[in-house]
Amino acid sequence: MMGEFKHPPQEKQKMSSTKKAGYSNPAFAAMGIPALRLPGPKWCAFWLVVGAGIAGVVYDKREQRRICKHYSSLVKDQGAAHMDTWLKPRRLTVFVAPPPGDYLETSMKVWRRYVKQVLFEAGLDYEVFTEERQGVIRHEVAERVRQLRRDIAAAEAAEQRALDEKRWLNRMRSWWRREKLSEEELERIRAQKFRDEFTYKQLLGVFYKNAPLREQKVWDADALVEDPVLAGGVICIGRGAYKEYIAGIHEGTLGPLDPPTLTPEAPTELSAAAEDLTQAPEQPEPSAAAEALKQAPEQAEHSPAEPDSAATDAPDEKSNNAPAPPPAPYVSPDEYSSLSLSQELVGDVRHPSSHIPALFHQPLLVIPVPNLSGFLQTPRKIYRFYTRRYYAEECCKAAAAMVLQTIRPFQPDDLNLGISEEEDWPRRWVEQGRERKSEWVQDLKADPRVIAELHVVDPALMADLAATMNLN
Amino acid sequence: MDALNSREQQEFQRVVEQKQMKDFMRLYSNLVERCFSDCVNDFTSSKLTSKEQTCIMRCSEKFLKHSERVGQRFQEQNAALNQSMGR
Repeated sequence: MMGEFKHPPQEKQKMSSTKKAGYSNPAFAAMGIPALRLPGPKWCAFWLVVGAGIAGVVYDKREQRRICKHYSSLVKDQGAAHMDTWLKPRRLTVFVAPPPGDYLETSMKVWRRYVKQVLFEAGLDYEVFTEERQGVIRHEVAERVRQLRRDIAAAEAAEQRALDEKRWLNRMRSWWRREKLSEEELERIRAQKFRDEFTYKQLLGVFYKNAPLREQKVWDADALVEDPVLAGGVICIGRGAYKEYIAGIHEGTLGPLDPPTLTPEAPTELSAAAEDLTQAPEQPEPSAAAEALKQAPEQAEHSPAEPDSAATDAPDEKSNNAPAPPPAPYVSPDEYSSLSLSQELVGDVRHPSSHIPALFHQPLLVIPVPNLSGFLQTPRKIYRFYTRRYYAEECCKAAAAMVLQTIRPFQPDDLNLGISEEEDWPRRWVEQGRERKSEWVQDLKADPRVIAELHVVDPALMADLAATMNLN
Repeated sequence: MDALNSREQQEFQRVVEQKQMKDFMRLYSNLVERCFSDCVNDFTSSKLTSKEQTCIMRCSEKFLKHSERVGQRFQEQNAALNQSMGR
């Protein structure tokens, strides 16, 4: 009401006279549809900007979906193929590390949105190993290789013992001994045998009076492949995960089986480096800081006096509950050339009981996680947000290549796989990492003997494959 | 099951077999019920139509394959559990 009074009548008239006539015709007018006219130039600009923004998102999302669907369809046949019930599907190992200065969720999103989808369609099994802290993936990989070495050594020892027992003299002696076994001991042996023969399959109805099925051993598909390179696979999501994987393989194959006894000043640097650098660098984690404090009084500037904001209420509890930092590497990259490859790991290495080829035989795939951080990067972030389909294509294609096993031997250049991601790493974080001797910011070093065993999945090779598939 | 003497072992074996028989009957009746209610829906004739017959073949095969696979996994998990508990 007040507004109407404020406008002088002549101004109102002027406004209505500037209004364009718009489009109308007698039929519209008869139906009561008012004249169609464009809104004012400002409104036009506004709707154009909003519309373009939304359309860009929608288009990008739709393209992403289309691309993922395309690569899923390439592998779909493999997922639908017949598989015996005693066979377990090919199993991939996925290592996920968060991008620097961000949370694990960022990398997990890449895995869930683009990679997992394709693997799911292909009917593959996977094991995801995630870790927020640096060094844990390296330790895990190294530990798996070392466990394999231990198992191989144990199996060889057992074989040797069995051979010894088979010798005629021993057999004679044991036969002699068996004669003297008391009734009690016989009973005990029988009980042991009975216990060993019992399996839970004997309780299940499917195996009732179905001896062949019950005796059937369950096999991994990985164990049955001729060429160990075609078994399983390793996916590293994030350049950091890749660096740790390579370091872990070297540590496992070249390093000793047991942790070396370190001089007291050596571990301090390493454990400080293993500190949680994936978190915001200016907030050192209290537990790691406390650890460093315990071991090295000269590093007291990382004191728990400036704890994580989440842990302000109970810093003591957190430092007790937080897991210990991962063990320092058993060997440093500079020592690689002076160490010898362990005896067990020559040729086609498989686990003695499961016959699955060793981790380093399995093909390797690296998926970079580009992640910008900082306010000034906003324009680049927006650009990437609208062109995410290219990244989605890269990921889905890589996953499909992993499924279809387009493999080539590892070349020294492949140490730079996913290096594009390093451009995005925050400069301050990298500087801080250098100070603390973080594994991530150092140059990746490799030994030619270890590299010779590795194979990588090359999505570029799949382009030819897809082209031939389309032609047929 | 740590130290059974031979008489107890026989007894145990008998119980195990009974259990398995019971599980088999349960499996069988589940299969019949499931596949019958899913596949047979034409009661105008006393014979099964060819469509129903193929449906039942597929249904029972799928059911059995599924039970086999689950059974294998069950056995594996149990063995792993026993091993970790030191039996």
